[in-house]
Amino acid sequence: MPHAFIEIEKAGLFTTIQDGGRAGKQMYGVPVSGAMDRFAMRVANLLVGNRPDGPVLEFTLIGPAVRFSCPQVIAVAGGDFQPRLDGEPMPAWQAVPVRAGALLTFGPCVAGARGYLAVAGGFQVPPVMGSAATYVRGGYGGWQGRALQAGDRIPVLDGTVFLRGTSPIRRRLAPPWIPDYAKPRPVRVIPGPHADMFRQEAWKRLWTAPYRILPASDRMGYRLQGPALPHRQSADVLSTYIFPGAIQVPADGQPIVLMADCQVTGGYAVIGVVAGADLPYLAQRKPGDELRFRPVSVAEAQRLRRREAAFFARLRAGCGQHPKMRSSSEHC
Amino acid sequence: MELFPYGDDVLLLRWKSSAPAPDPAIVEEVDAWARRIRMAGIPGVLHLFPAFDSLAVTYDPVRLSFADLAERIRRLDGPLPPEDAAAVPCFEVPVVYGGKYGPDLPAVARTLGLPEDEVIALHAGKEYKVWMVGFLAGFPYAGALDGRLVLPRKTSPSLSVRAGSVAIAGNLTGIYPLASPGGWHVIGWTPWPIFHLRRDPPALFQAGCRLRFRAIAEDEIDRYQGGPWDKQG
Repeated sequence: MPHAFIEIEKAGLFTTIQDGGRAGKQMYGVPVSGAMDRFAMRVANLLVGNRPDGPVLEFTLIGPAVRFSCPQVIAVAGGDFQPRLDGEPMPAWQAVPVRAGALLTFGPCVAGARGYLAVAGGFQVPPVMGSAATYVRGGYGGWQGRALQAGDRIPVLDGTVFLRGTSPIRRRLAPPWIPDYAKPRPVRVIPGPHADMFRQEAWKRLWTAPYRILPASDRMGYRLQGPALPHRQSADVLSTYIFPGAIQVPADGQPIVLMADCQVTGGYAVIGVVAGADLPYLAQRKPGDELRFRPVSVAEAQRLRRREAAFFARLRAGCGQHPKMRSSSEHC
Repeated sequence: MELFPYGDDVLLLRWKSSAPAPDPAIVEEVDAWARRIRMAGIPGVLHLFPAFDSLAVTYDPVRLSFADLAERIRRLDGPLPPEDAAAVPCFEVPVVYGGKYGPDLPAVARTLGLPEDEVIALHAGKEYKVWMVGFLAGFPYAGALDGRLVLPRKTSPSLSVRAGSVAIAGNLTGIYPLASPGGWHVIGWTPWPIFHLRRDPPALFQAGCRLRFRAIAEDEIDRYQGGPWDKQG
């Protein structure tokens, strides 16, 4: 098989290889990592016939320029980065055939914050602790444990096999399912395991006041600024395992929402945890954006998770798996 | 102990501990509950994360609701079969104490009012249990230290603690897997690499395993550079 790769001509901003992450390795002190917007990652992968949690490119606010060495089937999902293929507008949330030598570029990010690129067959990088996710702080995973740079050549499979006899491939996500990242909406929060450590005012403020995402926010966590959330006494707990979505509140009362690269243990009281179904929306917010929170019961949050799982099961069934992809159809 | 939702795919068992330091009795209970839940083999339960006074249980909310999981766990309360001691890994960690390997040993000895030899003897003279792994990849929090070695963290953390440093703070002892800033008192150093990305599992220590420290001389370091990985099979 000829040597197939994508070449990064422009790096974009913090472009990394991510996947479903390293869930279940935290007991060794290893962060989960993986895609911030798991919904967009899964859709992009399924559209090109990959397993949903396989490796994708994740880019932030500024997209990369990517050259394809051989024919490919690709899908772009996530925030609206106005993708272009050889200068022509290219639809997102849709599988698109690409000729050898084609150049994928992106315009300004007009909605959301993070974009995803999947290629049929996936990026061929060696897994570290069972995952291709890049953890830049630890210097491992993905491509050499770092964000991509101009000149990097990431091995892929030659996409000719995915194109054979299936022309044109235009599998796409039905428009009602495409998330509207531009529209502000409240983030649903399940009151947390240390709810009893907070004063009544803390709850009143959390459910009514806006909280702004500070510039010191990244894949580890979002630092928020707003009315302080007062503790009854101490803000500290004995170190306990923490997970993406948990909202920690240190003694200054300013909440921190933990994200994909968060440390595995923490010593601050957790006032609540973002509903899993709303983490993708949160991943598409950027510094300066305002967040509003709304309480949700664990039962309701789990109903949302089941609905999401059913959606992915239908999408997966519709998309089929390698090596043959069925032609032109719309799903869900 | 109480059960709480911790998001929509984690359940947290939380113990009320008043002490600011880990309580060995509570850590034992956490460990016992981890074994109970593991042995129950509840479908949909994914992973267990035991800590000092909490146990996080991750599960698949598509297969198992919080209410059902909480009910299953509550019904597990009862006598626990004794721990199978042979199944628990026990490590004897080689340590060069003092000198450039344990730069804080003199200050620790002074603060505790003990000769340095006595600090070493007390630290190496006891079997510890790993209570939790976290902070840094592979960092074991092990306890409980002999009461005579208990002292608070440094008021000002060191900017860089060398990988392999063996340190104490409160009633805990730990090993830095990588170079890192750190507020614990470094009394020695082990040549063992305790975290390796390409191993499975990547961390040498896990919650529940036991360890002892054994003083070695500087000229013995070479013999231990490979770590225990090969011998442990």
